[in-house]
Amino acid sequence: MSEKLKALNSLSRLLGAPIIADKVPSFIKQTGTLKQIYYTPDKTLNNPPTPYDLTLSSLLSAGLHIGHSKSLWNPNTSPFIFGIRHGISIINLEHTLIYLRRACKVTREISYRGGTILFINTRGGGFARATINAAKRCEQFQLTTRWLPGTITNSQQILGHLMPKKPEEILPKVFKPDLIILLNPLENTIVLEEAKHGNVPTIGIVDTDFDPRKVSWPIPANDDSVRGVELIAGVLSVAARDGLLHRRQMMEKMESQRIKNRSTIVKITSKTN
Amino acid sequence: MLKSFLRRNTYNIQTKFLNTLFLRSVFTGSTTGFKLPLPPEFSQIEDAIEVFKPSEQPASISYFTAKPHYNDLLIYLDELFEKYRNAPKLKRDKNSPTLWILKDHLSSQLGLKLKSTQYRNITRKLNRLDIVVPETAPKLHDFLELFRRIDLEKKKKELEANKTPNRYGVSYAVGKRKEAAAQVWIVEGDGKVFINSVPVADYFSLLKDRETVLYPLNLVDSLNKYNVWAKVKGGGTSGQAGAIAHGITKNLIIHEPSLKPALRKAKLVTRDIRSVERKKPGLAKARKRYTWVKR
Repeated sequence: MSEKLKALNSLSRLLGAPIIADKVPSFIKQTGTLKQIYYTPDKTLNNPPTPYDLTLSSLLSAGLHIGHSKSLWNPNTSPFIFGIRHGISIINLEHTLIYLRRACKVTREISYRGGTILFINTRGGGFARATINAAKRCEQFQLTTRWLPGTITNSQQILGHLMPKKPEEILPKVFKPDLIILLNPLENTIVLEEAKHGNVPTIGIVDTDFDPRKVSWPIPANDDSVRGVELIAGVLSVAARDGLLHRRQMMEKMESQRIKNRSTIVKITSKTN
Repeated sequence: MLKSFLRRNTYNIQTKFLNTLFLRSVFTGSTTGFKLPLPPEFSQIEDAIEVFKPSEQPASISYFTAKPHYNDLLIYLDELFEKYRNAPKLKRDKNSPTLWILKDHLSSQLGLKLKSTQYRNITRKLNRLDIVVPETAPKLHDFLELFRRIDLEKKKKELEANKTPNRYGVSYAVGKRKEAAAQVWIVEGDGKVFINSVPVADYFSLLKDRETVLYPLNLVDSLNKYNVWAKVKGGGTSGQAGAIAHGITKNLIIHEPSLKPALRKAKLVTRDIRSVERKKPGLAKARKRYTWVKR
């Protein structure tokens, strides 16, 4: 029994799965199957997988393949639809995975170059929790309440009062996101319009009833499943955190190089003197 | 105080994840399996410095909501709720809800203009946190103390209910009626009643006023049991008489709380709130109308 446990545990360690305790009280006889916790409800919320750990089965279990009724479809999503079952369009998860990884690359690169990323989901509840956690994870920004029209196109009025104006400035400083990640674009068409006017790239979860051309980097997936949105937001935030870490590493490296250069210059000048 | 706490807190939310970063793993690619190659533009460090200058970003995670302090507060309260999710909790007492600082006061403390729904959201979350047993979560309750309100009216009533005669057997109460206020002291004695250093008979010339003053003692058959010393100011004769009577009832209740139901039945316990009605425009007095003219 202990050998079996050891083998299982070594495999779990490789996969990053939970490990069963080796020591079991003697009065407890282990009979039958070994109970192992494979899934907890808050796993994707607090510890989402990386883009490289994603599998089609994890996307399927999150319910990302379930589209909307065939009568409500947008024909522009036809390349992403696998088929129709019980009158519901089924999204092809192979496409989902590819587009999601592409979106992850975009977020990673933008985060690496110090851009501001805004995670938006206006549906509240579990969706809000996922977006807030995603934003916290990569030190970026979130919006889980109503998008105020004019946040980009009329930013001075909407956001101008937030930063105190310096005396040498004419207008107070106002920030614009470098990337918008929209987790429910169907209800936020105003966001997409403003992004278009403000030249802000967007990533969006595109369901079968939404035109994927409205978003810069679509992710064909189900926007109604909380577990699915948690997964997507989590994966994107992990990618953004990667970029952030790499950026910090680069900045440290450059700072140390700068100090080294300065010290060598000092040495040379002192020698000549 | 709350504002400074919030500012501190928004900073913490940002830097929390800084401490858990393991920067080396980015280059080795051990945790994520990802290793970004150095792009060609970074062959010289001077070129890369432009890109890697510390970029200016908003301080708050909720900057784009246009209400960063409010939303950050909500996020923090949710965080606390998650933290104390498995902590032991008390049963919510619907009859005595916790008093939180009122909307206007909270708005000024936070430096925001809070709407009713926003205030309600905050108090709802505070109520969820207040249930946690205080002994197990002292820090949480220290934080919640920032939001608690002391209801002065309720406190006053509680203090009054706990009053007793002092070591000399003297009790004190204030009675009011119709612009008159009376300070009344009572002690066990013969049955003397002095008002503004003058006996009752001399102060009140009308029999009716004397009767109102002594009615509470009459009702409880203790005319000869207590001595009364009253100082009264404001109002007119009957108003002052009513105020003194109110004061006497309060004092009797302090001496013997069991008398309260009897006095309440006689309508002596409640402070008579009836006062002069204001004059209205278009009327000669409060109710008197001007003479009706046909044409």
